[in-house]
Amino acid sequence: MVIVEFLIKLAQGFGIGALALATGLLFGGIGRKIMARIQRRYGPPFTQNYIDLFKLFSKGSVSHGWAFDLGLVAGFAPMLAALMFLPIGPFTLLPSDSSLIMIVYLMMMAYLGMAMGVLASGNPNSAIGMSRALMLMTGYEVPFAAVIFSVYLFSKTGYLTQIVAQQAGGFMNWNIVKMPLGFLAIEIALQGMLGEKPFDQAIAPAEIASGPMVELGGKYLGFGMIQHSVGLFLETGIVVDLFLGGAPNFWIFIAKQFVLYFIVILVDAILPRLRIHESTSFFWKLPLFLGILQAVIVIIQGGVLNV
Amino acid sequence: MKTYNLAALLVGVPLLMAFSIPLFGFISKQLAKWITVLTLGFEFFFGLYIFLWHIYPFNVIMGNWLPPFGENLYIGPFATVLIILISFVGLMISIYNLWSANHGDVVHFALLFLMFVGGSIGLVSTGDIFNIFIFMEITGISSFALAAYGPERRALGGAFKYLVVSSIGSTLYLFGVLLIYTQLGTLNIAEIAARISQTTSGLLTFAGILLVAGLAVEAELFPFNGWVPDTYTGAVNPVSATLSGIGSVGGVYVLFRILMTVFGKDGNFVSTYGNIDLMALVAILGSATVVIGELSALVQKNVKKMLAYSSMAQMGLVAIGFSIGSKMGSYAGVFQLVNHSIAKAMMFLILGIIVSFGIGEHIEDMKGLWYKSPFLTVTFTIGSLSLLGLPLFGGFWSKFALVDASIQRGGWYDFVIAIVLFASVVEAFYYLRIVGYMFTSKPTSTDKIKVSISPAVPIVAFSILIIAIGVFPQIVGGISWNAAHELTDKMGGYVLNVIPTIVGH
Amino acid sequence: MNSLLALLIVPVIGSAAAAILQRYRLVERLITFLTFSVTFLFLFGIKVGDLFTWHLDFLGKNLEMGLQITPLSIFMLYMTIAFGIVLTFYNISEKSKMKGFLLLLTLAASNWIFMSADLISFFFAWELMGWSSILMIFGGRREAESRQGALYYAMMSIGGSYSMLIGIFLLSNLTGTFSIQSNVSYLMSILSVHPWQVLGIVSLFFVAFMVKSGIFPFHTWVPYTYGEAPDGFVPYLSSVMSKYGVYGFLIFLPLTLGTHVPTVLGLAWPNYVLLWFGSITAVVGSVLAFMQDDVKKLFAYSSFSNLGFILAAIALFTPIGLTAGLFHAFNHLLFNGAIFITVIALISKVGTTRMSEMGGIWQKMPLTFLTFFVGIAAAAGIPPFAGFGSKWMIFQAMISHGLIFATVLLFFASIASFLYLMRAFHAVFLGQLSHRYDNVKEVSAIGKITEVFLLGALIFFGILPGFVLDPINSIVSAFGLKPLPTSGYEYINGFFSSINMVSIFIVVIVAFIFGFVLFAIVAKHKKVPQEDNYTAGQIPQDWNLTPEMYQFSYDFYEPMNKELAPFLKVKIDGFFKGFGESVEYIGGAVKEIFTGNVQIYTYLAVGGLVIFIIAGWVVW
Repeated sequence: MVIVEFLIKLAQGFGIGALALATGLLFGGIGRKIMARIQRRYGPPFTQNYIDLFKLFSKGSVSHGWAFDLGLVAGFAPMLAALMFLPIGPFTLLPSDSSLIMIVYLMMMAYLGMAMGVLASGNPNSAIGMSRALMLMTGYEVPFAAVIFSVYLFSKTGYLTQIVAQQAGGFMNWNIVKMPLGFLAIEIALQGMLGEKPFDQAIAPAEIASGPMVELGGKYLGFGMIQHSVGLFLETGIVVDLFLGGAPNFWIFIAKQFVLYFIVILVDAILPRLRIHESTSFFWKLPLFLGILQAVIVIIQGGVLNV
Repeated sequence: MKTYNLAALLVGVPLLMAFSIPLFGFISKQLAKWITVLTLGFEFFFGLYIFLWHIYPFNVIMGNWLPPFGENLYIGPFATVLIILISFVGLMISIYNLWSANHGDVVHFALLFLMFVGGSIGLVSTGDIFNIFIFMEITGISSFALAAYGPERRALGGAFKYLVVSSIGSTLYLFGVLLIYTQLGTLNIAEIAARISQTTSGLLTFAGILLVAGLAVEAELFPFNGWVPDTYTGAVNPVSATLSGIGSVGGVYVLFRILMTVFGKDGNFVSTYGNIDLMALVAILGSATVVIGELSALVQKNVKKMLAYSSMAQMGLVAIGFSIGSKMGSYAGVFQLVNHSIAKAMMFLILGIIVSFGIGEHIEDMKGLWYKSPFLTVTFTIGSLSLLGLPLFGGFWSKFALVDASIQRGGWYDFVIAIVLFASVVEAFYYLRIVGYMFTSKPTSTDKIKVSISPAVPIVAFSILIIAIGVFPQIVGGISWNAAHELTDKMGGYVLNVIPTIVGH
Repeated sequence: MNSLLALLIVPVIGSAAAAILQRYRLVERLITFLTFSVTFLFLFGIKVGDLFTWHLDFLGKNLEMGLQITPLSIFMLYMTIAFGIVLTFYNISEKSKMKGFLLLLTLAASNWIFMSADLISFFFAWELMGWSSILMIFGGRREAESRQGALYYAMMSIGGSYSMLIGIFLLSNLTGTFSIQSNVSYLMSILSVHPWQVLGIVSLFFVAFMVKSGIFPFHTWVPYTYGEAPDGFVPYLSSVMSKYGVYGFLIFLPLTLGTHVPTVLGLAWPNYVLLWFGSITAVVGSVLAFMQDDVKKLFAYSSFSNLGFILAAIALFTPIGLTAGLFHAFNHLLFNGAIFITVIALISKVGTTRMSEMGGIWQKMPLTFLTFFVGIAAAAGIPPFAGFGSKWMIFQAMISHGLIFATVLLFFASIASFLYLMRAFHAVFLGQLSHRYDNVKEVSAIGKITEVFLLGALIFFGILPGFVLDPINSIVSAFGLKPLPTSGYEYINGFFSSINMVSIFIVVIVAFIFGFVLFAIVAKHKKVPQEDNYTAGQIPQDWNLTPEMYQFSYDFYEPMNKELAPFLKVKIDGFFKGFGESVEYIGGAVKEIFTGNVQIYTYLAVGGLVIFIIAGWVVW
């Protein structure tokens, strides 16, 4: 029985993974299209990312050793694992473990793995990119954490499923209404998390030759792309679950995610790239202030738990 | 009153042997040195006998003249512990001298050494305030000569400074004694102690100040301790060990015998008769000495000088301990005195061995001693750690007791102990720096130092004793407590044991 | 033989044997290892509530000294001795100038600290541990620097213990006893009447503990000392010796269980202050760590930063806070041990501690690389390795109190830990391999066994945290708090959610298998040498760039310096050093009193006398 259950879960897990990947790639494709239209170009078709991925996986490539290989896989696998705990619409594969922090830390593990891979390549551009990515992380993770903690205190639970459940019953129950400042902070943090302008220093195509990705080719770049797409899905998904009340079905979930992503794309299109230390300190100012203010409001409203 | 006249030998034998050493010297120089060893061995075992069979406290009555009319020796617990200490350190140094004293006038060196130790033993056991002066002169004169001994020119300078400052000290002491004598007409400590309140307060204060100033020279208290660094540095190492391990013991003994027994006013915390509290004065001097000694040692790069300054500072600690005036304070003082004598004497002796192998006294010269001689490094470290009051070594317990006593006393002693502890941190720095040099660096030459048996014996004995006290503090603790009792309860602890019939005033 | 006594005597005997045989390094190392193992065996003979007392004739009293076993001491003993076994086993093949007899003395002192029932033996053991470790630090790789490091440590540690000494006597003079238990309960009883007095006494103790654990503002010695200590000893310093402070804090923290203390956010305010000390330590450690270029120093900062986390958690003194703190203490011991052991293995092979001179070592030392990777993943709090659970619980403990500022600060420290961990990871193991290190070999068989063991332990305690949480729960209940619910070895029961580590582990493993399968089935790749990489159209050799130089690792986070500049201006280290220098300056001035001129001495003596007489006159 256990085995059958396990196999069912396994199959469902693959399904979720594939779905998330497809959605993430689709978002990426649409994003490219939107960007092109804003810049008055025709732009690639929105299916371009699928084509790219297929192409990358079918081309030969160069490797810099087993740590490089391992790193790339380690950059992708924990993302996939994290996906299993995310409530996607009404469906959660492993609801009993859907602890938010778990998901956040699994994502960090993915970044760690990715970092290991690209750094093992020995290219200084990827090292510069990684160093920037990490510095940026000290920026956006702090307001992000403040918001997460406010949600924790507000909802008095750490399970995403329960946080979603508490927001059931219409728009007015959504956390975005109850904690608008927190949403604002996390929306700004999301811009940094996704590495879009003005926070795209880590990639900085014209500056450091795409940074971490500089040595990636063929299937390695493919893995990078998967990681990015699944990460996109996860990050927007978390915000949807936290603030936008989850979703009754998969399509609405995706739609909500897309709204978030759309904002990100628009900001990306109109803002230039900041310097790295500017963006880090930016996150420590307004977003952090908003996040902490939100937390303080929650605490004053009686969020403190008597332990 | 218990009498045990045989104990007169404690004072008589070393002086007698000292003066007959030239005769033995005619036979052989070696014999002269062995005579010192044998005499001090006798002293040590006699002391142990008194201690272990618990014969103390007793009097030695000269010619059936009972005190206060005759001269007497009083050997209480305090004297007992100091006699054992002095004779033990003396014995060890005399064993060391078998190896080290081998050029120059060896016979007279042995004579002076024995005279010095005998004088010190007399100093701590006599019951007469004027005899104290005599013994001080005996030890003083022999130590000037001892300090001048050796091939080095700086020894002469050191000895001269010692001579000058020490003369001032003994003159002041004599004046003080004189003043008391004019008031009370007696020189017997017990009787003075009992009748001290009958004196004119002003004169008594003046006398007390003179006595403290005079005795502070030997007790190495600032500002009367100018001689210390130069004399200790100038003298050959066994002599420095003697001065530090024995000489200062006598000085401290007399200082507090006078202050606590003679001048003392019993109470929870002993204070003195007269217009100012001399105990507080000594506490101030002691604190100043600790701070000045430790700070001066800190910037020294010459290890021997560092030891000299540290010796000064440690005597300051001892003085603070006694000056607290409580039983616990005196306990800490006695304990610290014992620990310091043992450790410091050992360290001077170690330095002597190091120097004899052509290694300098500078701290840089200590580099890599661990590779040349683990034995000397480990024993030197043991000595340092004991002085720093770190556990497993004797010094731990005395510093522990000292802090306890100060905090029990409270009041401005909180500041005193804060100063002391700060100075101790400074002390830790420079001692550990030497130890660090010894342990870390590779030496330029790796000639092994072979320590022969006769200098090794005292060093091993000292180290074992330090660790033994560190593990079993009761070895010294029990008798120190009795000594503390003797000091803090002047009637019951001293006066009535000497003159049972006297009535305190 | 009584097991409690054996825990003290066996190491001392071993120490004596090691001291005598110290000339034969291998024998000495074996003795050290065996002594640790034998001591560990004696641990099985002890149980909670064991008591051993004897009497000491000291201070004119018949003082009762005692050893006693509490759940906390058992936890600490198992943890530290087990780690010691691993370390000494590794050290059999290690070549640094570590003196085994001193390590064994430290072990005896360490056991004694954890078992002592009275303040005298506690202080005795504390100082014994202090000096044996100070002496150990002399003899690091660089002579002058290691001497400086040891002296810095000595000054702080002795200063701290004197502060504790004063505390001990203030306390014992109030109660007339040295027993820890009765003193603490006495303090608890007068807390409502004399809160300031209690606070003063306890702070005197806390200074010593803060120094030992390297808590802000007494953290400054840590990098100097860890950075210069003999390689074989550094893991012990950072994993074991920093925990003495934690143990010390836990002796006095139950005090705040008493009421009558003003509270901040439902937390007694002394705890609140302590918590802030912990949080600041965490941040200071993390931030300074990522600016280091010396790998030992980097992890020294990291080490006390983690101690900050532990202190912040235990300062809460709630069930979850205490659990989290102790759990993190355990995890810190484990992952820091793993990291430091791999680091010293690495240093012994490459012969430098400067990270900018290393790089690409993963190709040469794959097992060390993997152990290090798992170690830093655990340190970063990545599931499913040990380290995740405790960090997560710390955040929960903090935030459930509504301590948003401290929590965000701690979270920042946790993110900054990513920075320094990646920095070390990259500069040491990843990046370009210099030709200098072409002959570097993997560690010896003994080293490999140690590393595999540590690797296993990091995963084992990561996915089955219950083996640690169970004893911690008994500690928590021994403190009179309600332990967290338990539901099996694989669960971490937090405040907001409980996490099944095994299921996480399985999911991650399945994901990895899937990833590898995907990797294997898609198009093939070929291996290229490291110089063959994309250089944006330039050939490095044209720019006189050798592979060593074609490596970005120096000043890795330079842009951050600008952001953090205002905070870096506060130099606590400079304060202590300046203090030391001015003391030395005063010493130089004071020394001038002793000019060597006998006239001056005479004047001094006479002058002193005159002053006395005048003083006497005035009082007269």
